Amino acid sequence: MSKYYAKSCVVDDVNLASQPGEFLTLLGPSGSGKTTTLRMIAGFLNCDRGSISIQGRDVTGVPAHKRGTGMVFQHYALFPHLTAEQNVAFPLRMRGMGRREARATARSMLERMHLDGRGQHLPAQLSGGQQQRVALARALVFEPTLLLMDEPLGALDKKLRDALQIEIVNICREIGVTVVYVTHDQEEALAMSDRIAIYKDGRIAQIGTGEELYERPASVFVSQFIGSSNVIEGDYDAQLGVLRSRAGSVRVEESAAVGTSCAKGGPASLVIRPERIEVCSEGTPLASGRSHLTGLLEESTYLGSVHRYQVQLADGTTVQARMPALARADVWVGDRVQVVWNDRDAVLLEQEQSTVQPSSDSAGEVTYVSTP
Amino acid sequence: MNSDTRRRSTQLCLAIPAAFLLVAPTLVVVPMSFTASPLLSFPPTGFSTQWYGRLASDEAWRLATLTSLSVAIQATLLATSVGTLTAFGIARGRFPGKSLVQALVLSPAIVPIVLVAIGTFFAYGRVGLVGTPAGLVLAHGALAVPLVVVTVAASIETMDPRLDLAAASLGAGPFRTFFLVTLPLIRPGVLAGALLAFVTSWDELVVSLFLTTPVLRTLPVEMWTSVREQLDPTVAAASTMLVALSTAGLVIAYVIGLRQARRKS
Repeated sequence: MSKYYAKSCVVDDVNLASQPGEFLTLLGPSGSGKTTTLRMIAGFLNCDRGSISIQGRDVTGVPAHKRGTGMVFQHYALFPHLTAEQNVAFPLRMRGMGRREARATARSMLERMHLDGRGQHLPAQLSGGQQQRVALARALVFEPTLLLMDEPLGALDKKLRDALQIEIVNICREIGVTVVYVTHDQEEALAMSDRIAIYKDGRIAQIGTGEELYERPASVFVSQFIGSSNVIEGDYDAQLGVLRSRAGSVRVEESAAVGTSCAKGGPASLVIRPERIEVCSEGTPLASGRSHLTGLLEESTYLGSVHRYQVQLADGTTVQARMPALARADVWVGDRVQVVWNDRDAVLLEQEQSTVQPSSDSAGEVTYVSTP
Repeated sequence: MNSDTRRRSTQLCLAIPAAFLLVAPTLVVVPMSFTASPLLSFPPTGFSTQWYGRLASDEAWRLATLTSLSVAIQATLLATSVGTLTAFGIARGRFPGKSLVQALVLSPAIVPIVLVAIGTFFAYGRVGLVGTPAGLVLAHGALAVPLVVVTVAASIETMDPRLDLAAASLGAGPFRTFFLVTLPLIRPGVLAGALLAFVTSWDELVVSLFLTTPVLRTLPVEMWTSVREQLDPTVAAASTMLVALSTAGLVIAYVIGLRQARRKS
């Protein structure tokens, strides 16, 4: 395993390691540095500090065309003057393969992508989904060990996107290529990835499987970026296991605070997923191991499979709850209600300033590791 | 009479004289070149093609035509390669003083041509380029560079810069990327620029007057001398040829433009 460091004004202290055959997604809001990281791995941008290596080979100073990574671009970047087949044959020709063999290989790759009979079309004559497949075929045909994808589905409509997500994952798994995928769409990230790295302000906020990120977010930012979250801010008393918020005191399980800097007590945020919260009328008795806060029901919306409630707590904090529509509570807008959750469904996290501006001149580092 | 037809007739009343003003002086040379009289005059008297024969057989005219052709071709190659590279720098590059460089590159097209000619004459005089084909090629090339830069830069700006990145990610080095991807995509701009460069050199008179000698003349200089010294109708034949060539150039440029527009749609 090798380590690589890089620094740029938008990417700061990034440390990545991917396993062979892994589908790793860089997820984050726009401008968070995920595309910059990808471009540094591809060799389009220099690392101001640090190094990049692929399969144990240090490629930090190696120009893009000698790195041997496949890349799929946001708007496909197919060569408009070449046919689909010529596009796919291009990387083979660059590697010294004969014209005839390159054509045959390109054609079989296109067949594999269900593009039989489209080989002689120019990109402009193909649909968005077809162009996407040609771009993928072109990036995979020369059997790269690493495939980089920069929001490849961004320009397609929802239905096509869903279908292609599965197709991309399947073909990459079949070929066994390691993928680094960039997207700002959290659903896409969850659907496709083995692991996800969440970016914030040029740094990785957290990296893990989708489940880890969802169930154990390391920060309030992550909890709100993957899915949505209710945040109750207060002062945590570790000895009593209680969070004192201005909306009232609630019990916190010891395990909810494990591993966070606020485990010893102090200002903290309690984070609870909306689907783990139940709304009921005030005064309903609670089972043990459950906590509650009271507030005013502001909004009650039927959404088909779920029912969404919005409750304003005493201190003005808004709490969202999503309950299965069948379990709909007998409460009405304007009622005094209580929001209830299981103590083990809450996670205690450090309080977070709303936004931290990325430092544009700090000398941070990026690490990318792809194991041989 | 409704307002539409009235507007149309007003437009015609203005357009016809304007077109006449623009084209007539050029077309005057065509009948003049077929005159039977040994003196250049308008209107021509009689009909004869002897001046075309003279143009082909007379040593001075033949040499001037060859010089012009050779200088124009070399100046075109020079201006097209320099201009294309410069256009890349201007369209893609990000460096301090870029607008200054841009202004400098375009200056030969803005500075009064006589100034360019005088400056060129003295500068080239010091290094022995006056009166040489190389001097003419360099001077004409410099005049044509801005035209190439403008047309090629326009082409580059319509091209997706990620295509270069895509080519690199697929294993193409800078040279192969340029010749297999970039150049085919900006070809219309390069061709249009080359055409303008050729016409610039082919028509150039002012700078050439300063750089030519009695033994090394371009066609326009030969014509200028001929009109001033002999009033020989051969000059009308030469002019007609020039008009024909320039028209052909314009038509080619127009067709390239049409094809480019069709490919985009």
